Amino acid sequence: MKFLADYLRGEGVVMCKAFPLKVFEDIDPSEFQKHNKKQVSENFVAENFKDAGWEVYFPISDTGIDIVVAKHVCPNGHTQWNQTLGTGSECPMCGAEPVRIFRFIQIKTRELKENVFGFTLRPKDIITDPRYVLLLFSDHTNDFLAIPIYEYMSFFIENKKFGRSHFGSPSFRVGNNKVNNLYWKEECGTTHWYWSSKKYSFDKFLNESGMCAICLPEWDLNLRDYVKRLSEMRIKLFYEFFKKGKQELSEEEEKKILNSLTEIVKENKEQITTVNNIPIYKIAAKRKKVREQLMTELKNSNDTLIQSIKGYLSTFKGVHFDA
Amino acid sequence: MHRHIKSIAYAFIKNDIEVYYPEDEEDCLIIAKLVCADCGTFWHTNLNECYFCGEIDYFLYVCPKCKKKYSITNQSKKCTNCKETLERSCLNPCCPSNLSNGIINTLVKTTGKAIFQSMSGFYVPLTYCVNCGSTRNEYKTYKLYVWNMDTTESSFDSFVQTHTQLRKGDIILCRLRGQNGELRYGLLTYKRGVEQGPELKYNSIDKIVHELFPTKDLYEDTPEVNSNRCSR
Repeated sequence: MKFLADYLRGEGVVMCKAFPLKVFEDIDPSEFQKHNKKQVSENFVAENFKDAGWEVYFPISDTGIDIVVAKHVCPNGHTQWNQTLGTGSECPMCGAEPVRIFRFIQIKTRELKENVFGFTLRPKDIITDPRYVLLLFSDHTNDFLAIPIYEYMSFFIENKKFGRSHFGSPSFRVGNNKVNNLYWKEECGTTHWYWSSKKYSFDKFLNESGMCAICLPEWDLNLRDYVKRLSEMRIKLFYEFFKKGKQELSEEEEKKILNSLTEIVKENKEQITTVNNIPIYKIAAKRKKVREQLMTELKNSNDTLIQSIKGYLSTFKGVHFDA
Repeated sequence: MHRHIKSIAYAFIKNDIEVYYPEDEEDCLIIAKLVCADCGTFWHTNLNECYFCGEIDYFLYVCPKCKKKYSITNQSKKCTNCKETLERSCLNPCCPSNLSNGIINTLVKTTGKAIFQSMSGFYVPLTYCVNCGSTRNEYKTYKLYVWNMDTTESSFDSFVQTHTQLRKGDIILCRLRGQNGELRYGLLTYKRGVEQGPELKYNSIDKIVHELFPTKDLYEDTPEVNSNRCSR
């Protein structure tokens, strides 16, 4: 199995500024303000993706993913970041039939403040699909950081102290955690990005290198495997890196909480049986029990409340509350 | 974008399917949905669950003393029986936040905020599938071409010829308005050598959604939790 580093070693990490292009000649994306920059920056990103051989799709309604992109590549990784294989064509290097890869791009456009790219990431942004990509667009320096979610999560698993401050804090769980650790630096006319200090370079996600990173067919060809790995990383980052925040608890109490959370996760993940070849986790049975208890409690006395619950849950297809 | 493509797009959106369109290709849409990777049930990132036990939010207030439940739209925030201030706590009686003397219970109490209270920090978006409890989600995605047929005699071959970017594995959705005015639909997964359009066996996009995004409903099959007591 090839990993990003292997591909980059093979390709050579390119750092020149040929990409992204200033596709809108009459405007400078940095001249837009917070209230009107969303659309222009999304289109700026989209046009650059088109130049790199991607088909670009825009949402009809604003549902979270900013753009979906797709292209056809060699399953053996021979397609360059700015190429696509046309209809009916085979890989010119190995003759393999192309595979279509999809990427779900979440764009965050920010200006630098004292060389820091600050952005907010909410728990709901942490999807376990490896094809999900964070595209950080620094419009003042015209840089793209294209970070596949798998690489992003792996970084925090490997660097626990950052994982703990990013994912463990209560402000992350409530969804207003501003991440202010991504730094920009220019050295001898070359742009560099790093997390917190120079030791943790993010250049492998920068511009062409980032586009190489997201082209890997690996995520698509071994989707189930990566989904599994990502779900395990998500659980680890959400639960093992718990921080007490501003609450007045002793270190010993914090340790007890962490132990307790580890137990909870372990218990919930434990597989108890399979139905139709699908693993049923303990939590499904627990929820069923709570739902039935609640139904029993309410069904003879409080129909209005049942209707209220049903009304709220009707937003979520597949969630039933049948009294 | 043609009006009939918009119409189909909104029919998918009504079913909570996300729809994306290209700027430079005709009759084509991407449809996608975040689903459970194990059972296919829709994955709702806006549905919150308790951080400690994974119980979902039922949008209720609970009296901390007598446990009477109230709607969150209830005007008064006091229990009618005991006059206690109502809380948006977790409804799982076995949740560590509801077990007195446990460390989690202590933690929640020190913050003064119940589990589902806004900004409590004790709820997270869905981590466990609402159907099977899996922790894995993925985007189920299709590239879909809409073949708006004029008559049953419309040429499938000419549709394929004019859509040069059509590839193996893409979905062709046929749409035909019958003589009685009723719309009929058919589905086909494209591959080379296919010469005929599909049978028009669907009468709504809802049925197409069921076909493309099948779910394995396990609610009825979920095994019982044997014990009536909390395990911790």
